[in-house]
Amino acid sequence: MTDPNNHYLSKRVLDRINEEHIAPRPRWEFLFKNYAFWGLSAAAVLLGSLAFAAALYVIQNADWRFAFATHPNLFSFVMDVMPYIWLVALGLFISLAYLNFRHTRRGYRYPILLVSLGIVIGSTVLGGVIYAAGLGEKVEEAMGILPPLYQPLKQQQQSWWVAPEKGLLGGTIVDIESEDSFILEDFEGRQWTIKSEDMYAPGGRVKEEIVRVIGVPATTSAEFHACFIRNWKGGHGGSGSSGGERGRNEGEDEENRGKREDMTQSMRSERSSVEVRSEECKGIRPYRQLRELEESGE
Amino acid sequence: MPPLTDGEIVKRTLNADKEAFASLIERYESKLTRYLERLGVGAREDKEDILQNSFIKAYKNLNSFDQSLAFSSWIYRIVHNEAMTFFRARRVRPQVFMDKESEILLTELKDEEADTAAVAELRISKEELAKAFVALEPRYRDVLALRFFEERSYTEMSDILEVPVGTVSTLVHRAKQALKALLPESFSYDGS
Repeated sequence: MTDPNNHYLSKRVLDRINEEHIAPRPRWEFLFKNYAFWGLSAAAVLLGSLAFAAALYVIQNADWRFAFATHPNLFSFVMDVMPYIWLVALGLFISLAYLNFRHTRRGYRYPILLVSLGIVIGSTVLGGVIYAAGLGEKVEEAMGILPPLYQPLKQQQQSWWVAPEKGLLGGTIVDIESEDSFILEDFEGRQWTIKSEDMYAPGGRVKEEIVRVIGVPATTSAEFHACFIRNWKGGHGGSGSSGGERGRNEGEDEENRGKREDMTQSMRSERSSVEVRSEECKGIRPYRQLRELEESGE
Repeated sequence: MPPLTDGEIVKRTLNADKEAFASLIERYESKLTRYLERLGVGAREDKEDILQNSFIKAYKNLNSFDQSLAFSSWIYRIVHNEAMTFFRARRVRPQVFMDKESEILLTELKDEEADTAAVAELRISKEELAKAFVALEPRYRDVLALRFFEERSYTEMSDILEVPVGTVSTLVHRAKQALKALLPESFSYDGS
């Protein structure tokens, strides 16, 4: 080896190493750091995918069919349902994933665009899988533990359908009084007498069914004149089902389901003309769109 | 017996042979000193301090040295980072003495220009070029020094600066444009 005494810089460096007892940091420290950045990057991709799954759930289950009933126009509906927090979270996690990847041992070598695209694709594809597995709803609802930061979609939709002053009521049928009326307990626990004589097939509803009722705006009394009644579908606000894909209420027994299906069938066969409904009903705001929904059988 | 490679010296150092590390320092001392001069570190004491701190840092982090990299790229990276820290902390005006470097830069800038007739009439003094070079942002000065004075490839520069190769190419291009913008008007010959 060369004699460091002839080289000033190398002598100074070695002297300092000896005086300060400097030693190379152990290899495991660097390995740990590298794996930690990889792990953090992967965790950020996973969290991003959860955010994407939740955003997908919100967009898919936002009840677009009744947007015209609950909101004055489509724009205001979109503004209400847009999953801002999930999209912001997705963006944040994608950024974190990128930053952590860049700090891995060789992460700097890869083009920014390629890395970013890979992370976005990874988060969205994995998010799609998570959503398809039915977990999007669970993630979305889990955020509801942070009020008032976030109101889960279910609660938001229920709040839209407890607006009797706008002619909107949603809730559970707790009693059938007659062919022309039944008792509905809305999502806030208040009970209403629903007058359903304006329905094509009055009655045809069963107890514990969860429904949405559109009718004449009510202000003071606990009576509500119904013009359209639709099944809540997907079980929002009631027992059981998730994902918005199923067309019946969970917990509905065979007898009730059979009765409801018979009535639905008779409603279609009895449908004749708009003159059947009262003038009061024809005057409600989304009348045309509701008739179209009815015609389509949704 | 052929001299030990950088990688072999690193392995020996990690096997408690500190004296082996001295030979690495001697191998790179003059190159790195010249690199610092080209970056604008003029004072001898400052260069020595930066180099000493860089080699101490290299010694401490020797277990992180990626054998797939050239050791020269790795040590240049450490010196580059220390130099940038030095400029930020001291806020001193860089001092660059360019002799051969001016010729290199001027040749490079001229080669880029399409109008060969105008290029032939170009007159820029070494002082003007040095003044413009010193006035550049440190990151642009750095990439030009690495590329044209240290003759590093884009891949080596990617490892030194820890950015993708594409970004290196962009930085070099922008550095040249920034340098041209700082030169006297005689360099811009779009009809003038």
